[in-house]
Amino acid sequence: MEKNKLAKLVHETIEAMDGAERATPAPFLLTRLHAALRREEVSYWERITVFLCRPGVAVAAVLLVLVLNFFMYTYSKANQGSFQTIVTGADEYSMINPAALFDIENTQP
Amino acid sequence: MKQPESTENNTNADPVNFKDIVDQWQNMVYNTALSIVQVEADAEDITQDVFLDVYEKLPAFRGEAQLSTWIYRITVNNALDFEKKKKRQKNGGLFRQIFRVKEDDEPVNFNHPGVLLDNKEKAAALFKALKKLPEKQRVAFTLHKIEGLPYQEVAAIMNTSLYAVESLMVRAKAGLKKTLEQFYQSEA
Repeated sequence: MEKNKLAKLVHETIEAMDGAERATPAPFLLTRLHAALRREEVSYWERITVFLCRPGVAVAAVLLVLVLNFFMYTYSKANQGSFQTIVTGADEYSMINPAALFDIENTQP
Repeated sequence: MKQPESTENNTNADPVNFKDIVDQWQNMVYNTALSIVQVEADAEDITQDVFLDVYEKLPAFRGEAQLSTWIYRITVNNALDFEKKKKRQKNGGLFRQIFRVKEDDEPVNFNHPGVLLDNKEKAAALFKALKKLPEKQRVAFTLHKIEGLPYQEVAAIMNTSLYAVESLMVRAKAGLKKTLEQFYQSEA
């Protein structure tokens, strides 16, 4: 090919996009975006569910519940006596007790 | 190409603003992505990803750059990442790369939908040659010649100096010239 002709062709090719229109995406992009955003929200909760359903996490959670139950049970058993005393003591000084109210109001015999 | 008006106050990711942003910038995002990846379906996916990124990051956008510059930057990064990911998937792992027979990586013909009929063949040759340019030169050329952005904005998008963009453009044109000369000589 002639050198000048080749140079001209190359120059024209480099400038081939001058005056070209912008390409446009397929219609309803916004609708597709809203659908994708909703999918992302769902997948966020799905990720949490998947994490919680992992055998390691599930077993650890069950063990934690069992240990807490055991401690609660032993603690309440150990303090059962003193708890009852406290309840009785509170009953004696309670302002709601009608007998106690009567004592306060009728100081004279 | 005609530039859309800038929307500097769109800093909240509420649905109304987001709709305005999508309406205003979708063609620019799609066209840039298409010019880089040269596959329409891929450009559609990238456009969707770009706007999801914009929706997510818009509340954090502090307006240090123009909104258009910011969106262009996200688009270019997404398109280049997409291309790299696709290339990795195509090449497979290291084992496959070592033992596979070398495939022909010649880019396929791409016809940009916005090109005038007279320039179709030349534009296809240009896009084929563009694929052979280094990444930065390709981005600079795409933003300046295809998107029609001034050097100043190209520099802002690429986070580089004006001088660097000028240098990239000179090298891109030289690279394209060399590739196109070889292409036309082999065709003659």
